Amino acid sequence: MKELDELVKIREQIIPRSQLKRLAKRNNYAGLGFLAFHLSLIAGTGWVVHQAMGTWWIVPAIFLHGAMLATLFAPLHETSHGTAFRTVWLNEAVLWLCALIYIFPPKWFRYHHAFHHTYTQIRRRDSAMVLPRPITLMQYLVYVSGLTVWRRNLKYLFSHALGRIDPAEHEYAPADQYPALVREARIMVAIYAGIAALAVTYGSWAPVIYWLLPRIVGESYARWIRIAEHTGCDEGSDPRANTRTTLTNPFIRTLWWNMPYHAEHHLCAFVPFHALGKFHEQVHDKLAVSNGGYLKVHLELFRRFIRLRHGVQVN
Amino acid sequence: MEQPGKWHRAALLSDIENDDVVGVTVGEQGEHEVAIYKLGGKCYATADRCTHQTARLSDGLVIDDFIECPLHQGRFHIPTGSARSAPVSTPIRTYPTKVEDGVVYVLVEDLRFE
Repeated sequence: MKELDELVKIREQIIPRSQLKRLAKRNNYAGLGFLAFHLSLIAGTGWVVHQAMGTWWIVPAIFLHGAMLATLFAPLHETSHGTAFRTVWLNEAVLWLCALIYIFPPKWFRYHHAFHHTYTQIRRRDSAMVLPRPITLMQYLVYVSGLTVWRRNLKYLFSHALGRIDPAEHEYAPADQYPALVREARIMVAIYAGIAALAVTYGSWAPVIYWLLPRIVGESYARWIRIAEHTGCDEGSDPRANTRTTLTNPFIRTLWWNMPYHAEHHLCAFVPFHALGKFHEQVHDKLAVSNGGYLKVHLELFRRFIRLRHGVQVN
Repeated sequence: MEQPGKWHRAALLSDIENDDVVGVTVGEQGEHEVAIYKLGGKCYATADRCTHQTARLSDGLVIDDFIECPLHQGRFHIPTGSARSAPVSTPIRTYPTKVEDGVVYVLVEDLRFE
């Protein structure tokens, strides 16, 4: 496979395997520490929502809590790679927990995401290509709203639960796994139906207030972070140019399980999140790195929109 | 019963670190890509290409008695070749091994037998 051979060749030029092996060592402690921090923050913002009930503060509180729930994409992503924990069952349990809260079928995500790693930034192949060039302001706003992502995820969740696999999925999910994709969607839908039944029985709005509503409005934050990973980078299979690392403060980095070191992650996805900082120190001069935080990446995209509007060819 | 195929010299035992893997090619024309593992002093051999998207498993990571694909982190059980975690679902081929005078040999069927 051409893309894969190129990735391996470039990786070998950048870092020897002996060094990678040391970085790739797994443990449970880092993941448990990050998870405890993450869940504590979510509990904290949930408490803020509770305190804000009956006041106008409920609006920002719901957005804040939603942003925290959206960051669960980070452990969902790391566990989907199997790199969050050394112990497999722990990894799978956290993957399922995050997937249920995030409303994202986990096995389906694994296949979908694997394809993205193989064909990163290759038009019409990359399963997670955010916005191919040239991007317009309207495309940017629609993407950041999260509406397209909800439409896609819910479509897959419910069509899989009904036993239907979209022909477009045949490319990245092997046929012998279709029953597993259907099974996981049915389990998820059954759990959600159970929560809905309990809420109706007890006349409780808690699932809507503490989960669904924040989850819907908070998706924008996840999209805003994720747009920085590849958008505006080269379209091609060279990992030095098709993915961007965004340097940011330690709080955001921790919240996103070091996912801002995205170029390093794409260069070698078997290096676990907790070693990405060290990996970055060793290879940062060979990768695409934005050192002005997420705001700088987005301002650069806005600069492109303006140039595009004035008819200037934007690459 | 004698197994079909031929023993091929694959690697020096001393060239493989414990709990690690090396990739070699064997066969008359070097037509078989084989991953040789050393786990707890014992040698194993499997096909070197992942059944999911053909990444080279010898670039991957040995975790306990599993080999993790370097591209998508699917795992195979080294002694049996069984696929254990998504995105892999098709097993990899395993080959018998023997060690003589510090040299690892793998039993590979010639292509004409396949």
